Amino acid sequence: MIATTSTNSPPAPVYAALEAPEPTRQNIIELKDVHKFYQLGAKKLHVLKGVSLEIPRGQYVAIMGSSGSGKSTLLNLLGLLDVVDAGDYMLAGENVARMKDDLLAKHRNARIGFIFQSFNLFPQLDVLGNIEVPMVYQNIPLQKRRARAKELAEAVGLGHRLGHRPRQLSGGEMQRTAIARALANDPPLLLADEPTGNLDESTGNEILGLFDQLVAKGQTMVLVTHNPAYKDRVHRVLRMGNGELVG
Amino acid sequence: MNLYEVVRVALLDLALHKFRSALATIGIIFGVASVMAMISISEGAKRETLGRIARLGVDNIIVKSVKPSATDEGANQNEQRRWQAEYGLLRRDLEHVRQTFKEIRHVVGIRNMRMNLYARNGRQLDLAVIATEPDYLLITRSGMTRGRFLSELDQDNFAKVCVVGSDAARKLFIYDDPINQGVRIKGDWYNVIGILDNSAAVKDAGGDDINNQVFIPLRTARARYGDVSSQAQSGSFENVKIQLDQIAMQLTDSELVQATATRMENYLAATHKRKDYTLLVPLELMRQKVATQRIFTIVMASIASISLLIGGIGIMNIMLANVYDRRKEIGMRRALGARRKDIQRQFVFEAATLTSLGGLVGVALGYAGAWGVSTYAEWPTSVTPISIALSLGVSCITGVVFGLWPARQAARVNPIEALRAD
Repeated sequence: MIATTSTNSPPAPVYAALEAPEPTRQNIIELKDVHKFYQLGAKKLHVLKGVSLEIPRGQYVAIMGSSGSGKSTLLNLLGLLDVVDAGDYMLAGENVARMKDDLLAKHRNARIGFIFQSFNLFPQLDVLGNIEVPMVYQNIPLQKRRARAKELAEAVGLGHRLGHRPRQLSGGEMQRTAIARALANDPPLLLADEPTGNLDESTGNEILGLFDQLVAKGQTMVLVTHNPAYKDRVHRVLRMGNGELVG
Repeated sequence: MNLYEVVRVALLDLALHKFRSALATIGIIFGVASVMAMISISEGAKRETLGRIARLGVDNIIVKSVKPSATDEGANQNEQRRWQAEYGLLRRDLEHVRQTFKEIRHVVGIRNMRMNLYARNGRQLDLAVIATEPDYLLITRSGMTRGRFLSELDQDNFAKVCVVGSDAARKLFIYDDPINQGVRIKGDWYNVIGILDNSAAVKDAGGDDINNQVFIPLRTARARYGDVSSQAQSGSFENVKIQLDQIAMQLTDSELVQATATRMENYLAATHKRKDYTLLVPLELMRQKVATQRIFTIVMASIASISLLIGGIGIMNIMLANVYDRRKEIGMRRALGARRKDIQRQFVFEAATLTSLGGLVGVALGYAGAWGVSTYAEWPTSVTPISIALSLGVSCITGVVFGLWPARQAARVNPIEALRAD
């Protein structure tokens, strides 16, 4: 059972259904001298300036830094939403730096789970339907993915909201749905962009509690935040400044 | 993402924006309805025309006498200045056909007597008097409601008997029983021996309804009135000498029609100095009519397709707006593992689903329109499974074609920018 940090929380979610990843010494992420440029009119912006980084499996990492420091760009590269202009990116031992778009989509689907500040749920789908989406792109049969989605929804404490649409959910419930969706294909890496930015403190703490439990089970998590409260919860804080890792 | 998923997602997305989806399909609905109605009207007209030609008999050949043109190469200039024109089919042509065309089941000679006909009360009636032979009944596939048709005995005896068409009988005798009544034709009284009825109301080769004609024996006509008749022409009268106005023949097999018509044409070309005849082959007419009608249908459907085109542009417009509105969804789908082609397929299917649903409503509306036209305007219409399938197919294709570009735009959406969008 998941222990939440809030005292007036909804029914305690059961997380036991999710299997912990195998503990391993292998790095899930290895960045080697990564550069990223953006063209802004005639001006070429050097956004990432030779970032090198290793994140072992099971580590809980927070990337912090001021606006424009390059932390979101780094997260996009880690999430394969963007490609590096120079350098190498090894994801779970495979160089993904120069992969084609379709293959990147496949890797995103199988290896990465995304959690966003604004939840980004699909309004036309209910909780179960939203959780199922990543499995749809893996062509998992309907019955199987429905069972898996139900299992995940119950694990994050949404067993009583399965048929509800996003507009019928609270902020916390929406983020729980997004977390369950991120876990749908059992990815080795979870990426979160200000996951509690749109939530009140109490609900934010619930979500952080959920993250703690995932990490305790061996899940690798990388999140981008401005919130200093994370410092005490994560294993490691990476500070970005002017396109470089500064600490 | 398999097809089931694509369709499911498409339907869910459309259901989320019901009003916008309904508005988007209006163009398609009216486009498909007009295509459907046009095809139905055109198909109905085709069936009606073909029915009329078929009632002339697809196994029949009709040869008509026609006045040769003044510039006809074989024309005798002196003859043109004569007081009497002489042209057309000859009795020996009829005899030749009878003797040598073995594939002919029935053949008759026909004279249109062009003479006045009077009822018992002396009233002149506008009815055609046709002099013909007994097999005329079989060739025109007519029946007798009362009495009998002309017989060989009537021919041999030069009998002054006549058969009246059902409509002609009503005009002549109104409430009286026509059988054994008298009809005066050029001073002679003819005894009515039967009433002919052609249920299909066939028009003869001259364009007259045969139910509105009076029939007398060919030999009687020749013996009593000869071959010369006087015809009104531009305010004056012209004497015309014609032995036969028509030769109508029915073949044993419709497959032989084309070959027999060619043979007949060759025979007439060889024996007539001038082109004073013309061949009517209902089967050939029917083929030509089908070809003409096909062009007509294509033209009608093309005109109706313009509204479908406008509908398609409407769909494209809506789909483009849809892509813009749903950038965040597209970005999220891409983040969750959708490939560009998954996104493209999803949007194409959404457009196709939208237009297909519009197509279904359009077909129903088109069907109702065709029904309305046939009920209130009394135009023949025909809704065929092909026209329904065509309309639905076209609506679906419209969706694919006009949804393709917006779908490509959707597939090109940059997921990072899309996820940042408000």
